Amino acid sequence: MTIAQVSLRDGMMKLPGEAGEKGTLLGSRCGNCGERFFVIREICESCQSTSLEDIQLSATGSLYAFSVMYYPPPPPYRGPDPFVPFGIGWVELPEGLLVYLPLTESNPRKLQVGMKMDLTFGVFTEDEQGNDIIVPLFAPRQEE
Amino acid sequence: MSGIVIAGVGMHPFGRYPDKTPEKMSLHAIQAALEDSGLSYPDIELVLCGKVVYKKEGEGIDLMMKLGMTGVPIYQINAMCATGGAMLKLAADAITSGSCEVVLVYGFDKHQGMFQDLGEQWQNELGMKASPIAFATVAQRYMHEHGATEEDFARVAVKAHRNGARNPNALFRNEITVEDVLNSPMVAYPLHLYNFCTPDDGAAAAIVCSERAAQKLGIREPIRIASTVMQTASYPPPVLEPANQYSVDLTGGPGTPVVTLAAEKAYQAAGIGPQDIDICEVQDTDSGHELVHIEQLGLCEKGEAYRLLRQGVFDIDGRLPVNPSGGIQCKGEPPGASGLGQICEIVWQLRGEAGSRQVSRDVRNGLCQVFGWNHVAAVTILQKMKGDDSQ
Repeated sequence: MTIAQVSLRDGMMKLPGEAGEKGTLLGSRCGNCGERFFVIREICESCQSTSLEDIQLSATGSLYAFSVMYYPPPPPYRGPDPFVPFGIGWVELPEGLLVYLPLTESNPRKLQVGMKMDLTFGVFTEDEQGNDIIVPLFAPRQEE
Repeated sequence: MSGIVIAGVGMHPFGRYPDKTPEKMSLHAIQAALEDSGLSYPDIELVLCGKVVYKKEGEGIDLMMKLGMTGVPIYQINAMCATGGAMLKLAADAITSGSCEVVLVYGFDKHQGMFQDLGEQWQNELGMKASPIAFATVAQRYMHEHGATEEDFARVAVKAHRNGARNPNALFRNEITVEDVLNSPMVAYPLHLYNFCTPDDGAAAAIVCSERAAQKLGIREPIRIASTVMQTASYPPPVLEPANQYSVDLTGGPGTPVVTLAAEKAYQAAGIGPQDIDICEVQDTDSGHELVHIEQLGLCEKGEAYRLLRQGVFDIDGRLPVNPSGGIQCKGEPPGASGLGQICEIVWQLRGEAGSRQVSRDVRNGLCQVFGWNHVAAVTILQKMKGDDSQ
């Protein structure tokens, strides 16, 4: 049996390809007012236009704010059991969009506002069919 | 705006009452409010009942029938954690419209654990919308921008407990130290367990009426509702607090927090400014948001609240007492009732009836602010009428 990889949510990301194509975050740009959104939308929150076009977002950014959760959230939380603390953050993309996503790093001492972040993809859990559910995460950039 | 007053208030203490029904708690609060106003249930021309999480669908209406079948219209209202403020706004509008003159607003809840299903499914599956972590990111950024520390957030909780210890309606009535807060478990960086409000049970009620009815009915000490505003988020979203919960386009410039939008309208309608506020109850879901809300209300400059807190400005004997009740950090938060809990406290403080936590200064203008999912805010400005020439 092959394990398929499925997105956590439709309209949120393009998964990395088997041939090495990079995955990206997906969003919308309003054809009327130009506002941009992470995750594909049907209605513009700014001007209520329904003329939205799909866009791909940058895969790098800088950390704007973060936290680390030390207690298990209530259902429908589907993270690891037993619970493992996890980090989340607002990341500012170079095109001027802030997005809120999980982080690979859960030690607040290793997180700092302004640090460079890179988009990555990870297996979060599996669905009822045993497929891997993939989530986008931001990782602090590794020093080269 | 004016011509509308609070004729009486009542509360069932907030806390954990596993063996007590919401009906018992609500009747306690309603009867206390009726007694406080000197009115009786047949005087009520409209009932607004707030509840957010309690699961029995008809509870609000059911229990009003127990008070007597007077034919009064009864509505159940849910505006999440802003329910109390939202109901006051509806009551004021109903009276302004001329459709009635005496309204009972009451709220109750039994709340255990975190909200489970706010926002989108995928965010809840990831745990990103668990209240503590969503609040904590705002606190983290506040530290970064303004130089506040975990100790400052601890000081907010210490002040809350100093006040809560004197409040018979509070769940937590113990004083704590900065060390106690910092030694309590970290829930969501940078906030510790004692930095958060606690979901619990309780009920609160207020009788709202026209000034004319208050005179006619001989209300002993009406408190004027100088203004009341309910507001949801308005585009563009403020940084970190967008209503869509996961993205903000920064190119349009920073948006205005919904609390600020509501406050500006409330000051304008009351004909006063933030400098005229003598005392307030603000939504302190966590110690970070107490500071953020003080600033969003315009009560001080951005980034200044933690410094004023250090100076004691927000203490009961300070220049601007904030959350003299202990806030929901000490009372706990039954979301259907918590907004009216603030109203009760400010009414008591303005009347000078707050007992051992009565503020020492003479206070005339009091502000109540609630903030709820999903970017709903309500701001109410209450005003003492005693010694007021316009009365």
